[in-house]
This record gives sequence, structure tokens and C-alpha cells, in this order.
Amino acid sequence: MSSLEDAARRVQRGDVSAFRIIVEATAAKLVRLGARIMGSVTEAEDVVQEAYIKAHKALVEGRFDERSRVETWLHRIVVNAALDARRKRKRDASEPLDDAAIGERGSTAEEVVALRELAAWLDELPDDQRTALLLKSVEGMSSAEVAEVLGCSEGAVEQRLVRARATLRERSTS
Amino acid sequence: MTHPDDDIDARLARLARATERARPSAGFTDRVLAGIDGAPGKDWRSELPRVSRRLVPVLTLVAAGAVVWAVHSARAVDDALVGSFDAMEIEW
Repeated sequence: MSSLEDAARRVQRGDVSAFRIIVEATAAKLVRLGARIMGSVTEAEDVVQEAYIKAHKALVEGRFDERSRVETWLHRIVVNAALDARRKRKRDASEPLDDAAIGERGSTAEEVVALRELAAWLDELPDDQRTALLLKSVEGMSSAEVAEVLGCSEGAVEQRLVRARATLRERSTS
Repeated sequence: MTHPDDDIDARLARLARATERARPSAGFTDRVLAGIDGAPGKDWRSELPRVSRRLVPVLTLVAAGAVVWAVHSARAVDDALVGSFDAMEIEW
């Protein structure tokens, strides 16, 4: 059993300190994923923090069924939380991704620009296509891993990737 | 001739490299753990499902024991009644 699975079991048994192991092992990856979806490390930190709180609650209440790996499960929670936050940001048109929001804690100017470019470029894609493309082509996951995170078949992932590329191609030629 | 997907892949690869080092700021883990400690719902009601799950096997055993004891007691009562009826018939 991996150390993350072991830590998750300890949290389920009431060992609060074991959750630190999970956060320390996964925070860098999850915040980077969140930042790539949100276009901002600062916003990603908020999203990932909320995701960890949800994950901890689910573990304590026994709602983590261990059908997937802890890391995959956390990726799924962060993806969903980030998509919700993006939708909320779009609804609240008063909160665009402005320079203040991405005047980031500890990010270089190049990272800030690249995160913003990535988010803006993929912004018009539907959520399912954008996340499939991000997880596969930017995060470097396999189709099977993407399918597990998104809770769909590998075929559905491939289909989303094809559609996403078609949309991006179309937009670049128009 | 380049395939249009090459441009997309090249751009995705460039952006992946440029954002590779995006990291949480210092103290992020402590903020997360502080947030968990301060999260609402850490009262007895949130503990209830976990405690209940642990109690289920114990309560199942207790229930099974109670059924066995009830059946045993019913038989003992039946035997006692049969015995007393037999005694009454002999006396009569």
C-alpha cells in the first residue's frame, strides 16, 4: 500500500496529523493543476485549500470508498472545484482575472504570463474538453489516468481530445 | 508541410514547460491544516457516521445473541409448560 493510501486510512481512523502527509505529498501538483485551470496560482491555492477541506471531511465521514487511488481522487476533487470556481468567476463578471489577482505569491513574471495565456487560450472550450486536454497534454497523464480523474471511459477522453483540438484549430484559422 | 495539430501540440508543450514550476506559496500546508481545524461541522454530528460504522459489527453480534437467547428462552418456556400439563394430566 502506498504511503498516501496508508495516510488516508490513518485519517479515517481519526489520526488528524496524517492528513499533513497527504497535503505535503500532493500540494505542489494540485496547486499547479489548479493554476493551469484557473490561470492564477493565488486563485488555485484557494481552490485547492477548499478541495483539501472537502477531502478531509469525506475521509473522516468515511465517504472515500478506496475505489481509486488517493491522488487520483484528489485530482478529481480539485478539477471539479476549479471548474466550479471558474463558472462562479464568469457569473460574477465583476471578478475578471486581473493583474491584481495574478500578482502572484512567489510566481515569476513568465509563469504569470504563461498561466494567463493558457487559461485564455483554452477558455472557450467546454469544461470537459478543456480538462481532458489539460490533463493529457499539459499535465502529461495517460488517457487511462485522465479517464479515472474525469470519471469517464478512455474512449470518451479521446473523443474530447479530438473535439478540443478541432475547436482550437478552427479558431486559429478563423 | 506541418500538420495543424503540430502548432497546437507545440504551444501546449511550451505552456506546460513555462508553468511547470508553478508552486504553492510558503506556508500553504499550514494554512490548509489551519483551515481544516477551523472548518465548521467538527461536532458530534460529523463524528456520528464514523462511530456508527464501527458500532455496526458490534450491534450485529448483540442482535444475533439476543435472537439466540430469545429462541432458547422460548423453548425453555415451552418445555416447562409441556411438563406442567403432563403433570396435571397424571394428577387428574
